Amino acid sequence: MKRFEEILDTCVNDIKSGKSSIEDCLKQHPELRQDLEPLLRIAVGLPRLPAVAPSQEFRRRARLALEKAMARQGLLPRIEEGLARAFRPARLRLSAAVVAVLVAVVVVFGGGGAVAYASQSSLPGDPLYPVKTATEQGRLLVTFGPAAKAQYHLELAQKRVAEVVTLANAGRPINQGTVEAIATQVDTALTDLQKASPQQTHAILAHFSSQMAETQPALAEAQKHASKQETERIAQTNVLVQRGQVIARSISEDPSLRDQPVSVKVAQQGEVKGAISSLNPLVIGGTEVATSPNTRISGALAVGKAATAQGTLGAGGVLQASSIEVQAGTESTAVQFKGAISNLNPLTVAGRKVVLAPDAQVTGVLQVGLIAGIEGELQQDGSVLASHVEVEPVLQEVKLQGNITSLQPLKVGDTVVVLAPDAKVEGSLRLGATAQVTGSFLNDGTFQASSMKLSEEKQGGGENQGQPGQGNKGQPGNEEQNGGKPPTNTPKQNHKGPPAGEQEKPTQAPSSGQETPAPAEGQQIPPATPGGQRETPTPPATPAGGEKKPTSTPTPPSDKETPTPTGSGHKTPQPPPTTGQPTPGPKPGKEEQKEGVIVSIAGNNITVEANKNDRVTVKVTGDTQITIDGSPGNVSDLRVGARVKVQFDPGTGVASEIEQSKAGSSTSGPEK
Amino acid sequence: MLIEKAIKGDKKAFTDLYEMHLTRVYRHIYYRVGTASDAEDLTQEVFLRAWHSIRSYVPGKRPFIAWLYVIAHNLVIDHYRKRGKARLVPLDDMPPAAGARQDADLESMLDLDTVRRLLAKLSGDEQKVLMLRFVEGLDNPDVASALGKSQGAIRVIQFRALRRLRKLLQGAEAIK
Repeated sequence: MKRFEEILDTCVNDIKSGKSSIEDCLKQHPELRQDLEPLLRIAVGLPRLPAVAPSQEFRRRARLALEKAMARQGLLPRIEEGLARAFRPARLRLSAAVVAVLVAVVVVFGGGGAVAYASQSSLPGDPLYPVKTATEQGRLLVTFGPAAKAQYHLELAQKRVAEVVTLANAGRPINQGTVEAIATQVDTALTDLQKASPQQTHAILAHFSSQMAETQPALAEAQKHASKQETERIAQTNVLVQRGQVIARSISEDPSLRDQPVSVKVAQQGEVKGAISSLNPLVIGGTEVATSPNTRISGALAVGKAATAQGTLGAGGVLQASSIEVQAGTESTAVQFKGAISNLNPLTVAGRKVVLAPDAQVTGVLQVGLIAGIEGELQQDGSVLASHVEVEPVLQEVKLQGNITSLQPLKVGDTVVVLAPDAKVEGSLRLGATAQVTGSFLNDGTFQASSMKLSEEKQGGGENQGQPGQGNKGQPGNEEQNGGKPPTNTPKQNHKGPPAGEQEKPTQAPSSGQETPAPAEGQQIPPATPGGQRETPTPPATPAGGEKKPTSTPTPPSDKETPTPTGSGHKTPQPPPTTGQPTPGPKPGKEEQKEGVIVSIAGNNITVEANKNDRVTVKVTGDTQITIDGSPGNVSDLRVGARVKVQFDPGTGVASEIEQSKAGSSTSGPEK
Repeated sequence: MLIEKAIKGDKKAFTDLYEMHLTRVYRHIYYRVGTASDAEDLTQEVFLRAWHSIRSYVPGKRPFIAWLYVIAHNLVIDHYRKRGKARLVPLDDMPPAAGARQDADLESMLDLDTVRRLLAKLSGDEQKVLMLRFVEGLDNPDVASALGKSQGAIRVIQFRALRRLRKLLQGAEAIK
């Protein structure tokens, strides 16, 4: 027998094509008349909405704007446009300043405003590039106030990023100075913002964070075409962009962090321990170590000896040593070093390929831009087989406060929160509860919580419990941020929840066999996702598994959604869904199947968490069959937070199949 | 082919695509935001963004118009966020009250403003399916490919969306 939704669809098609009328259709399905008729009437009524068309004037205007934008092709104009949009008032203020600078350029360079103008599209290495940077400096001189200065520094950082991309795409060399300028500009902006108001800081950094996120695809694309020599510089840029994004996002949410010393620059102080494998150049534990007359060296340097070098980690992973200590005796191939993660596949730390040993202990989440300490064995090919990896978050202890607006994914205000496996949760996790969360932002904009304290929201009445408020935003603990208003905890004014009695009715849950169309063709339909979600795939919701449990769809306010696994909701303080019970795999024999959420991806090792006490790390090999939403994929398509089914050999940990049902990360573009 | 040319940076091709799709994108946004000025701003932004990220569009994965709708959808969400306005009242369907119109009359209630207001209460997928299926007139396979879902899934979403819209219409009428 056909399902109701199929009959509905057939009727809709027939009516749309003129094959039959509503009445014809109802006659064919008299038993369904009551349910079918109103839906068909709406379906027929919708196309009759008044035709809406843009005005001719708008058509012309929009086309002109588009042509203008296309004329200024490339990433640079794109970033400028973004900044112009974001910082409109500041730019208006500055327009006079720009004129002043141009005049100054005329005087200083004797060239004329046209030269300064022409220089604006120049790239490092071009004859006019110095004019461009001089103009920027001039403008900076006439930019007043910490917020405006910070904005301008961030604008310059973005310009430098755009230059790196443009140079890479043009196959031109990227100089180290350009990359370093990105870090300098961002760090200067962060310093300036210490004097700006929390509101300004929030606005400026939130925008900068999203702009940085937007540049990542262009960088990734550029990296693909870049020569080997330039790849390292692009990787460094990528690290800065990712760090910049996370730092900006963290401080924008918690402006009190401005006072912490923070830098996008990667661990200046470096240390490397290992055997000396070469003297010229000096290589310790696989890391090239540069010395100067000031380097203190204790012991005699000799190949095969174990040594520890300390100093400044420079470009390209070279350690500028301030001291080298040669230990007595020889050491094996053990190495220890620290550096930024510049790539996840293959895992690259401080410019070196790192392979995780099957039993490697990894603390923290591996992400580009974060600093990782590595301990392991140097391999013949120069890579490091790591036994310990410790990832440091960019910023410790970001505090987020807000109401729980969604349980699946778990959201505090607008921010998607993932609980760390060892996160402490105090109180009951339910919609509307006020949450104080401590943790750190991840590159994809999600927030990894190490602890979460929940208190019940004060409600006017008990009826609305379980209903979210209206768009309350995850606010930092700083009250000034919200114009002095306490950010949360205010009783909700606008709940229009259903009256008692309607409350228990699940919005999308089955109410009868007939009305419960099971997802067809094997596709899981999540229980009604709330309106206005950002177009990003979400992990399928916890399957009801035939139980009559109401799915009690939470109804968060409109929001972007970053897909992240969270709990199934009901008073369970551990979000990773508990649906991932190990199920007997379809293949007989020794293989096991596990369903859960990817909590970390380290090289070819994928850790899947079925529930709090049940996680497994599997290894992807060339034979592992990976499917993403039913299509063949590879390991780089797998995403932390995505729900997967894994078929693996419990003895070796090697996965034979990984099926990712929905991938996702918060992106600005619709396609990745 | 226009799209392939546009991906390669052919401005003329992209301008042609703009001409082809402007009205549909505008209408799609207009139904969601309700004012011409907002719809114009967002529509313009859709095409600017589309141009800037045209290289990320994968022909064959979904129709170009569907890709534009995705950009539009995201911009509409941003639009509401920036305005700091909770776009939605709680999403639960308002209960039909005594005195609600009979279902047969619902069709006549489908005025633009009501529909726009109520559509906003549906989930993102539900909104898109209704818009594409009924307002844009795409058939089921096209909607499925546009949204990257199976046809069965589209049927289910369509059913849920219509059922939900029906309840909302009843509720809207009840509070009139």
